[in-house]
Amino acid sequence: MGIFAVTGLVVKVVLVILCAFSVLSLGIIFYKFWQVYRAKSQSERFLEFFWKVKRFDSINAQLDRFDDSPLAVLFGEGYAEMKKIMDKGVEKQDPGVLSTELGGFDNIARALRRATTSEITRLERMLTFLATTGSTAPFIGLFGTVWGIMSAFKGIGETGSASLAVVAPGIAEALIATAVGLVAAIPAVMGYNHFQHKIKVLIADMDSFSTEYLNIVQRTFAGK
Amino acid sequence: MNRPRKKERGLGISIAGSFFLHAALLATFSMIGLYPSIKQSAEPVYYVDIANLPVANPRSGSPGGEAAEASPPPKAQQQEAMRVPPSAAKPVPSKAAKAPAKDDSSKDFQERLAKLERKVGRQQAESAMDDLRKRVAAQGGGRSGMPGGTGSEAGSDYASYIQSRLRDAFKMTIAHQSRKPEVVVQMFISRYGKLSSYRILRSSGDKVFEDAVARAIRMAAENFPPPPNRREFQQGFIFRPEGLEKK
Repeated sequence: MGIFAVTGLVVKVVLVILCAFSVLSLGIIFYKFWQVYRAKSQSERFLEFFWKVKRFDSINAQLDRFDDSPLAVLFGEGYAEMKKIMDKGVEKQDPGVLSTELGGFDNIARALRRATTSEITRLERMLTFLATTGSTAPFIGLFGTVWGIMSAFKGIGETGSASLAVVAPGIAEALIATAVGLVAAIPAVMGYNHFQHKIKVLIADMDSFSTEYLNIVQRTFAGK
Repeated sequence: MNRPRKKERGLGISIAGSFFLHAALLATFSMIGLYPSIKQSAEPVYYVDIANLPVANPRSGSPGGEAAEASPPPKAQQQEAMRVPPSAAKPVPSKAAKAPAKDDSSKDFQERLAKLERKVGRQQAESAMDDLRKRVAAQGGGRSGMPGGTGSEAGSDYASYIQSRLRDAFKMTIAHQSRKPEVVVQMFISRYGKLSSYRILRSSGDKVFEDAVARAIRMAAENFPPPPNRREFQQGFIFRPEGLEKK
């Protein structure tokens, strides 16, 4: 804390901002680790369950077990849409048949796409903060450094001494801001890249599941 | 219909965890002492002349004690000293000596007389050299650091010493806007080595340069030793960008 005490006001403010960035970005990284881990593990378990049970109504009844799985969310949305269309078919005295004329498959596909988008948004939420921290924290630190060096040179001008003993502490104080900026930025950038990759894998899983789901619906219900 | 938006469960806990982790890391780093310690240098910078302190006339004088080694006297005195002996050192030919010797006894007498005269001449030369040495010693030409010194000892050239300190300080503060500024400053130093005052006798009109000169004087004045013999000291200095001179 001795370092913090010797710096000027502007550098202090910069350090506080950078510390806040660092705390928040690390908190988000922890949270995203947990969220992505849960999404991945529950999706694997859901797929296993999905292929084992094969009855949509039974799967739908068990969806609460896979609350954090994006695939379970996709299934729930698709099933709800399918149910609506089938209920309409009941009203038309033609139960159990999806009307292609009314674009029943398209409705389910749209519902799945909407659910995918919604899940991507949920998974990517707060990643923007990591990107912002990664890109701006070094610059904020640099600002603190530049300001600190300006103050140091001003002090040198006032004391009239240009010896290393006078110049070096001021420069060292100023460079702390850049160091803290990098400390905040490096984990944020690493976390951002890591989660982008993980989320891309989950999006690919969701796309595959959507296609598979539509195929199953078409095979099972069309032309019944 | 979209499902209701899920709550971000665990976000608060993660941020709290991150906060405590940061606090723990800061505390650990502080305890281990991983931070570079930044301290302003509180100790004053001392300047030491590698050679002796400036001496007004380093080659003048001789040791105060008689046993000490004599330094060479000034050239004029040397010549004078060298001129003294000849008349006495050379045996003066007496009338008796000029007269041709008629027998052996008179020849012996002549030789003894010549020897005696040489001895007297040598004594006179030594006496003249002693007088000369005493005169030089009386002029205060004690060798540097020797007890007999009365003004030429180390540090006696106080003005040069002050000039040296001012020159060092001026190197650090120098700044000027005009092309060839020149400031003449009269400095007054108390018997205790404190800068009593200084007066700008001739200004250059360059404010920046005058500020630099003033800062150099203040900086150098922090470490002035007392003047020799505890007398107040005053001296004019001419400050120029290339250095400074005594007025």
